[in-house]
Amino acid sequence: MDFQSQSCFSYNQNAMKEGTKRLFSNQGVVQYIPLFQVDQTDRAYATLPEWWRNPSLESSIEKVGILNPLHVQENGRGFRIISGYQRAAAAYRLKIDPIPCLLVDQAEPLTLFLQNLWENSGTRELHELEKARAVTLLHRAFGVAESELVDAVLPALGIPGSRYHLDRLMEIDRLPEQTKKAMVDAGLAADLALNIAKWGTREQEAALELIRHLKPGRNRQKILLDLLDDLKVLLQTDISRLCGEILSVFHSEDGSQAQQTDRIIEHLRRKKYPRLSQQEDRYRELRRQLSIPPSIQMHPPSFFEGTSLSFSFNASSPDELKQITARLRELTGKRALNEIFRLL
Amino acid sequence: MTDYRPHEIFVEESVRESLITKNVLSRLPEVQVRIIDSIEEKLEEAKNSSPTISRAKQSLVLARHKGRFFKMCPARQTRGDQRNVCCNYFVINFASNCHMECTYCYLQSYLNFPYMIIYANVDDLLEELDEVVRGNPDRYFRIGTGELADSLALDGLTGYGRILVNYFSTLDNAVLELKTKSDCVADLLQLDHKSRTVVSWSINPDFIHQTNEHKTATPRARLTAARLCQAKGYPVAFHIDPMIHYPDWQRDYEDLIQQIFNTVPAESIAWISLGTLRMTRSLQNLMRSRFPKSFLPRGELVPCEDGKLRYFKPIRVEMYCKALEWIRSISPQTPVYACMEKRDVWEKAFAHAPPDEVVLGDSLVQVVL
Repeated sequence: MDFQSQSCFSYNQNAMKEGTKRLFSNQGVVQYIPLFQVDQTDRAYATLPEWWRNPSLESSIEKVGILNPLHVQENGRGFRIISGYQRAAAAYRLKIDPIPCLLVDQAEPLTLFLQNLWENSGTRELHELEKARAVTLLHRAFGVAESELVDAVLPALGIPGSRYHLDRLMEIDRLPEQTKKAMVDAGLAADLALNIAKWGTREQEAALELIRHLKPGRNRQKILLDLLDDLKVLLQTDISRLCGEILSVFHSEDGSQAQQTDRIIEHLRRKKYPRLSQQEDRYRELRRQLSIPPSIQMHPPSFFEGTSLSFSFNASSPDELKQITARLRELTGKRALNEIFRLL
Repeated sequence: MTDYRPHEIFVEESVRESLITKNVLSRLPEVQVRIIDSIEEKLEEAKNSSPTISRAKQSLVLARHKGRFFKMCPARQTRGDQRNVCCNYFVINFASNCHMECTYCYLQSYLNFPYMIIYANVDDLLEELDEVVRGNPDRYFRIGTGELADSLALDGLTGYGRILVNYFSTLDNAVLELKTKSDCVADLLQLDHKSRTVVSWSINPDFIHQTNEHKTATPRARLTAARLCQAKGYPVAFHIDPMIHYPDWQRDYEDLIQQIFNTVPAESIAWISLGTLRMTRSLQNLMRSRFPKSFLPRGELVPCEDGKLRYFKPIRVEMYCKALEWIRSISPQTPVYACMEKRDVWEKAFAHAPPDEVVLGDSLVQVVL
């Protein structure tokens, strides 16, 4: 655990140069250890949560067994896993016993942890939860200084080296388990997970249920959760109540999850923007009254911020253009058009 | 108002002997002082440590302003179609940042230097004013110090107010506006200002003060300070800005306007400006995160042509119309203008828009001169 006041990055590189063999007892010879001796309750070095499942790894192990030995260390009760938690879990489920392991020297867990981390990050995209756990472990369990994490570790993980990003990762690591699960199984974006962590427990549960039910993409997640957050404050209401109301209204409706999501977003948007929604409705009604042919498009300025309507049209012949201009001239005499201009 | 007491003061070597530095250090003898070569040191430190906004403000830096003090108001700097009607305002930035914590303050997302800064090279500032104002005797200037800082909140430490009021009292073609949310006027009351300084207050109803203007003086304290200044012959002004839309806004703003005119005689009010809440997207996000209980960033705000979010136009127009109606019912003559609004909103709310910025700006200066 001794960090030896060196950069974890350079320390790791030195270790690489000297050869990884020296890190292992028994000259790096693989030993087969019975599963009952592998202490899966000791998750001191785990970067993925216990509930994380990797079906493709499990399928691979089922077919060809464990090809890469786990790294383990004696902990007095048996063997603590340094790397290979997922492989051990798969072995338990698949009843593969014993499992191949490399026994690690007591003095070198940080080096091995880093080696394992760099190896993983070099061969696959680490999940944000994994990066968060790794950085937190490096700081809390291995005593790596924050400046070292910012300067060396974050960039190596593909994250800008700044205090802000370090704090953000540590915050992600502190998220409740149910929120972390939603990040994995419902694709909840980390920033949104951090936002909803500020809500009450019941509110978080209700919002996560909604997200799981609708499975919206990142953009819609943000729109939905921001609207809920705004309405919580504006209406001084509880998000669990809002979510309950939404689900009772929309749950039985037909349509895909995306369509349901859109309807819910519109429902919430109308609550947040009552005046704008009213004006949009009025505009649509007036536009309908104008019966504008499809060859002419009329657009109000965005959010009615502006003073002019824009018209566009397509004509494929002089006659068609003549018809369009006649239609436009006709529109100028309509009361509905005057009223639309007054909306601006 | 909560007084500003920094935890530490950093003084740039180059302004060690400045009058402003001496004022600040003599008034904060208990605060630890460190001499630094350059403000860049602190900037570098801020990049590395990313202090929270509130925490960073506990450090005060006394520095030399290296660029121009004198600038045109940012409202004039928008272009073309995005252009708002402007009041030909100029600003001098004697400081940067504010220790008060208004939830809607744009400085939160605007400044790239998180510490409190006071620019102590006051002689350079006055020299620049000489060059611009005395160098253009045929032009009128209305110049404020409240763009990047509150004009008076730190006056008890810096003594800047006294220096500027005395300086402007010697000018024939310029008016200084000291804009504040504080009640720090004690130092101004003994000065021979010759009506060349307008002391003005940004003011909102009690409800907004209590919920969104943290560490500022209460509206009552601001009005009392205004009365003190008016009694000493200062023209005073009010900025009902940002006006906030909430269920009781009509009752509260009407009451506020009544209180203003009950406290200060209409003939002493140089102008009243109106402006509804506006913010950039980044400020909106910051407000949500810093002040999660504030309803301000969650209102019926829509993106406008200059990129800022404002209340949906009919709401803004209604707010301006009502405020104008309440003001006019008490004082038909007091000049009223809208801040950072487009011509069409002016026309809907005020029935006309000024032909150009010089006409509006000069009309406001001439109220005082």
